[in-house]
Order: sequence, then C-alpha cells, then structure tokens
Amino acid sequence: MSHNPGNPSRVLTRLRPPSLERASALYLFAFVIVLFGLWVPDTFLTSVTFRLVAADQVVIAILAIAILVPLVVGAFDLSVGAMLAFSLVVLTWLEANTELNAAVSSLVAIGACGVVGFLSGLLVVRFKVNSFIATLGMSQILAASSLWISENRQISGVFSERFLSFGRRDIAGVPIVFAYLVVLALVVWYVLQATPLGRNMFATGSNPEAARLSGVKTDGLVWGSLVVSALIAGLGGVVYGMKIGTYSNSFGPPLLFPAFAAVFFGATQFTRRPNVWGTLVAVYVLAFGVKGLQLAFTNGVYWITPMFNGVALLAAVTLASRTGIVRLRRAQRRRSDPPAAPDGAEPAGDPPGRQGESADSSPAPDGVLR
Amino acid sequence: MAAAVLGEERAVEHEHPAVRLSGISKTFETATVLRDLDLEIRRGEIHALMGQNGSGKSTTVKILSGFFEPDPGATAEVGGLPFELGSSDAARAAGLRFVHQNLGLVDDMSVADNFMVGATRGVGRLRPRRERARVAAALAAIGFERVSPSAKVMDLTAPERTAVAIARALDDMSHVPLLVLDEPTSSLPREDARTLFDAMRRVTERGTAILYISHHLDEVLQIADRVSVLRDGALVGQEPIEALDHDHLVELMLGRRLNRALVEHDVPAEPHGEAILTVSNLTGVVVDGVDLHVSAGEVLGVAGLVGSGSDEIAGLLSGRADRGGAVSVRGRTIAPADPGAAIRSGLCTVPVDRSGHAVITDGTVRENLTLSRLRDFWKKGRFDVRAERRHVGTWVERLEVRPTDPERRMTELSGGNQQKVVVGRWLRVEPTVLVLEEPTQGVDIGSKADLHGWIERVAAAGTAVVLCSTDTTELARLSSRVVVMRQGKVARTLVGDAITSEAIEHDQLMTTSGHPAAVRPDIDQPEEAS
Repeated sequence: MSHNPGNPSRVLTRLRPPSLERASALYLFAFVIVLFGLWVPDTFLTSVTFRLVAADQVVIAILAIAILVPLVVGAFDLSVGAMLAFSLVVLTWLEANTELNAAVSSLVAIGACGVVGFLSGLLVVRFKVNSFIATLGMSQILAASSLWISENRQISGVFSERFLSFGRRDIAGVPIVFAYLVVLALVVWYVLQATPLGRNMFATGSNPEAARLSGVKTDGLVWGSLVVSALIAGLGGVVYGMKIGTYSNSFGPPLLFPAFAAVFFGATQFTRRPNVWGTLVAVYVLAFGVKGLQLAFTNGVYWITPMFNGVALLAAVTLASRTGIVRLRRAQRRRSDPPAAPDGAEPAGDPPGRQGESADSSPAPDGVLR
Repeated sequence: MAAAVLGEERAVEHEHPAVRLSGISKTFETATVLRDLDLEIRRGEIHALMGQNGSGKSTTVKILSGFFEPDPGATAEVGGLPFELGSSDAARAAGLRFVHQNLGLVDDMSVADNFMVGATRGVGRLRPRRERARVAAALAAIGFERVSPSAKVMDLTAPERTAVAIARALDDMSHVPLLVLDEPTSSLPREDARTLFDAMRRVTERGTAILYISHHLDEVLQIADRVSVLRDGALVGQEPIEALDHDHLVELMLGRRLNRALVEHDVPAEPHGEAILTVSNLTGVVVDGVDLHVSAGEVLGVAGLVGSGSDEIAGLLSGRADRGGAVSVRGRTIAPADPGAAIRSGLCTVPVDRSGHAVITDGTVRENLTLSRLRDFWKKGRFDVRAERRHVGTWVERLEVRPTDPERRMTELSGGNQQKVVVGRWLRVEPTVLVLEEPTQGVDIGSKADLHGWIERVAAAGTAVVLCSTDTTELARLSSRVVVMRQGKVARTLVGDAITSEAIEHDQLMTTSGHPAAVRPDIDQPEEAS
C-alpha cells in the first residue's frame, strides 16, 4: 500500500461512496425518499410533511442523545424516558401552582433531573450497582414521583402564549425545536469527537480498566455522563412542554425503546461507535419511512411504526456486524494462540506466519474492496 | 456410575503402579517440547515433577488430562490396565483427577454447591442436607473439618480453598488412583503451603498417588517421596528423595554444576546515583516489606518464580492493586491504588495483561498511542487532530509498528506490534519512572529486539526503569541491578558481572535458608515436617 499522497488510487479512495455496512442508514434514507416520492409524491414530497416530521421527532432525538452520552462510557441509562415525564410534570406543576417565571421553572425542572442523575451516578460509581439496574430502579421512582406530583391527571393550559411560542414558531423556515436539536447535537458531537474529554469517554467505554490504568478518571466520567444524560432528558421534557403544552401520564417511558433503537442503529453507522450523527440519521430515516407508509396506506395500518422500526434496526445491526463477526473470530483465534502453546514451547517469537496472518486478516485496505 | 465400578476394580490391583507412562513425546509444529518420557508413579506416593519454566511439566500434565494428544507411539497404563491418552473423558473415567493452580472454584457459591459444579450425577433430586454431610465428611477426611460446607468459598483462606478443591477432586469416586496437583501452592505464602502437606499425606494414605508439580525445592524436599526432573522436555532424573539434596536437585534442573564463586558474589544494593524512585516497606498479598531504590538511567530487574511476589510488584507500583508502604518519585509521595496519581508523578507502567489492562480494544492505533496525554494536542479550546496525526506518524515510524496505518484498529495488529504501541504510549510522555511487566511476553522475536533497544535507550535518556520479568536472559541482558525475590521479600541483589541468567535462576530456586545443608534433616524425616 503506497502512502504517496499523489497516488491516483488514494485520490479515488476519497471519492468512493460510503460502504453499505458503514452507511446503511443513508442508503435507506435515499431509498425511502425515492420510493415514497414516486409512490405518493403529492403528499410525501411536500414541505409540510418534512416540517412535520422534523418537528415531531425532536423529543425522541433529544432522548436518544441523552442515552448516547452514558452509552459512550459503557453505562446504560434506562431512566431517561421517565426523566422526560418528570421534567415536564415539575415544569407544569410550577407553572400551575407558583408565580415563577417560565424560564426559571424550566431551569428548576432541568436541575431536578440533574439531581436525579447525580443520585444514579452515586449508585453506579460509589455503590457499584450495575447501571442497567440502577437506572431501571430510578425510572420506577421517577414514574411514581410524576404520578404523585400530577395526581395522575392531565395538566394543560398552564403555559403562557409566549412560552409556547418558543416551541411552535419557525426560524428561517425551520421549526424552532429542530434548531434546538441541531444546537444540542453540535455541542455533544463537539465534546465527544473533538475534545480530550470525548476521547477519554470512548476509551472508558471500550476498556474501562485499561483507561483507568492510563490515567483516565473513569469513575468521574461515568458519573458525569449520567448527570449530563439526565440534564438532556430534562431539556427534552421542557421542549415537549413548549411544543405540546400539555402533560399526560402516558408521556415519557414509551419513548425509551424507540430512542434506544435509534442509538443502536446509529452506532452501526459511520464510525462504528455510538455517535451523534448516526443517531440523528437513524431517528429521521425511521420517521420518514414510517411517515411514507402512513401516507401510502391511508386506512389504519397502526402496526406499521414498530414493525418498520424493528426491521430497520435488525437489518442495520446485522449488516454492520457481518464484518464485525469475522474480525472478532480472527481476534479470538489470535488470542487463543499463545495460551494453547504449552509452557514448554517458550516460543522464540510468534509461530511463523503470524506476522503475515495479521496483515492478511485485517480487512482489505479501505478503497480496494469497499 | 460405570466409572465408579471400574475404579473399584482397579483398586485391587495393588501390585501395579498407579500410573505408568512410556514413550511420551509431544511436538508442536517444529518444536519438540517433550521427548520420549517414561514416568512411573507408584500407588500412594507423592511424586514430585520438577523443572524450570519450559521444561515440559505442564505439557505432561496436559497430556495426562487429555488436553493434548501425545505423538504416536506413546503408551500408558492406569492401575495395570491400558489407558488411552489424549481423551479427557478417558482420563476422567480412569480416575485421574486434577487440581490446577487457579483451583476452578466459584467464589460466590458455597463449598457444598461447588462440589455439585460439574458433578456427573445427572439430574437427580438434590438433597441439600445429605449433600452437606457428605461434603463435610470429604473435608474431614483430609483434615479440614474446620471448613463449613455452607461457607462461601470467597470467605475461606487460601489454603482452605485449595483443600476444598482437593476434596472435591476426590469426591465422586471411591478410589482415585492419581491426583495431580499442578502448582497448587505457588501463589500461597510458604507457611500456608505447609498446612496443606498434612492433607496431602491423608490423601496418599488411602492409596491415591499424588503427582505434585512445583518448582519450590524446599517444599518438594519436605513432602515428596520420589522426584522426577525434566529439562528441555526430557527426563533427566528419577530418584527417591533420600538420594537427593538441594544442590543435586538444582543441578539436575539447571543442567550444570553450580558455580559457587559466581552466585555468592553479592554486593550491597547501592544505587548508582541519587534515587529517583524510592520504595519502602512495600506490601501486597505476597509481597512483604520490600525496599527498592532506582536512580536515573538505571534498569532495575525484578526476578522471581511464580508466587514469589515478583509478579505483584508492578501492580503495586502502578496503583492497579492496593498496597501498603510508601512509594515516592523524586521525593513526591504517591497515594496507593490510584493509577492517575502515579502517572501524574511520572511513574508509568506497561502491564503484563495487554488485552485486559492496556489496549483500548475498539480504538485505533492513534487513539491508543495518544491516550497517555491528550492535552498535548488541546490548544485554545480546540483539539488539533492534525498535530496528533503528525505526532502519531513519527512514533509509528520510530517504533516500527506494522502495519504503518495509524487508523487501524488495535485488534488488527499482531501481539508484538500492539505491545510496541502500548510501550510507545508511555515513551512519548518521557516518564520519570517506567515500570515494565513482562514487556516481551508473547511477542515475536523481531519486536522483542526492538523493545529491548527501546528499554536501553529510555534508560540512557535518564529514565529510571523497573523491569519485572520471568525471562532471565532478558533480565541479564538489560539490568544494571537485579533483585531476586523469594517469599515476598528481596532474597538477593545481583550487581554488575554477577548478573547472569544462571545466577538469577539459581537464586530464584534457593531454599529459604539459603544453606543446602540445613535442609537435610527435613529430607530424612519428611513426615515430621507436616
């Protein structure tokens, strides 16, 4: 493989379209647009549809980013769905029962979520509770708190028009809530991708012990990521409040699984790690697919949403892990080599061919096969 | 069930040896690790199998257990009946039982439940009370009635755990012809190891033979009835213990006469210059009050057999494991069990467990290399990826990592190249103290030479290097001073011309007293010692 920058094959490599395994969501996106563009052009290819989908998915996308942050360091946060509802119920209660300014109420609601995230982190880091279990338990406590505060009633009509306008107007022709999402995504992307903090977070998620022994403060990262996750979910609740204006007890937890699915779908895209843009693309490709199907079959295909989500997730993960599985087997075989040698072997270096094998086993240089 | 009946049949074959092996060889591709071994283990004896690392002990055990198939031409008998080697089912059915160093116990289950793990009794109803009584009896039979069957394994002391493993191995058959103990005491402090000797004697009283794998001479001289010594895959001696003494045994294992003048050459442990790394009264699980001083530009070798504590030193210094005692770098004390604090003080460690403790598995070569200090590339709120790539490019070139593409995943690299990246991670931050734990284990010969070159260069540049290794040639080649550990303490320090691979091996093997003659009374009355 030549590293001469002027080598024409290197230039061609850069021009190649992304591989199916690495960017299946983009291909699916294109397929969805073309398919429904031909099928139901009058209703699908309209700015109304695009604006509607863009705005409707914002809360799920925010929730997915809330899941993404702790997932990068290897922690699950199952409490974000209930956190969303908790944030909204605190906000509506404050608006209904106090004279507080809506902005202050929003900050209080988000802050309350941050405190809950801090407690989850305490359980996970200090008391060594598995994050899956700690946040699962926390989500139940949050659900109970929401029911208690709301007295299990729908709360509506508590917001001022001014507050609601922050969730309903457009800026430059784009729904404002979508702009919020883009800003949040940019911030999270920047931290994860372009700071030492983000690099340390990925290292922690990949091999916590190796990261710790390299001087990374893994405990702090896990704890912090759970707090940030809670804050983002709290923000999601506030955004939902601005947009919809109503709390009902069916809001929140049902969004958890679609959001998780989008994160896992997104993790198969581009970098093969949980990543912000993959997550957002996943959210929107699924949403547009579902929207297209709803427009194409106008008479009540109520089961189409979960079916489409499920099939797309499984297809993407299967495509992505096909190469992953091959690589894993090779890695296992290589790892099992030294222990298989008897203590007597004291190998004078690796068995012959090992060096060659490692060169063979790595996938063909990018651009040749892909 | 059939196996148990078979075992009883065998029990009556008193005149036959417990196990007889003849013509056992084992070749891996090009390397012959065992050559035409004949071994006879008598009924009810404790038969020690000795040899240095790589002499073929483990291969012999693995052939007995059926893990390896021997080369064609090997024959074996158990209790006088022919026995098929290379099948773990046959080994089990014939009543060969194995207790390995790691014991194979499930820590958070009770002793009685551990007896049920892997038991071949099918799906019959469990009777907990009856099981507990049976387990208690099995433990009492080897003198460990103090262990309660309902206690959790994790709450037991180390020798008690070993006893549980032994009792369990003997449990499912009325007569076990051979129990193989594969270095069961190597990670125990010596006094604890002795508490097991009584248990071993009780086992042999029932007619079971014990094949005892160990490289601790004093233990073997105390407990064994006969000794077989392997060297380079061949049997070089099979003697009753009465015919052996310490020096004779060492000579058999090393294959040469001891040069007393060489090994007695002991120089006080004065470092060359002012100590940069100061360790005082370092204490861990086995390590017991170790003092070390390493000055700039010095390579301090740490030698010792498995279980001597030498394998613990790097973990204690790096903060991977909790420790007692004080460690300071340039007079700055480092808090225990805090890897970050050690690194901030300039003490960086390359751990032995590459995949578990060093490599960021999902990361690229670039990400693995720069993890040690990312702030180098963080300028005014911006992470300068270009500067990082340039930096990594030069290091990949200097370390001769292959393939040269820094965007490759670490797991796509060979072991030797991964190790170069892991070492490079610390070289690039110019550590004050570099601790290396088996830096060339499982590394190809070319990378090994490269890594040795780096260790010499980094020391020449003024880093204090601590090299923990079981490769005595490596120690002899690179160290300016070697401390040899036994039983958790520094037993001897070798300096200058006295550092040879032979001298290190000899000192690793020495008995506690260091005076071979003092061991003789024990040899004459092995019973008394237990």
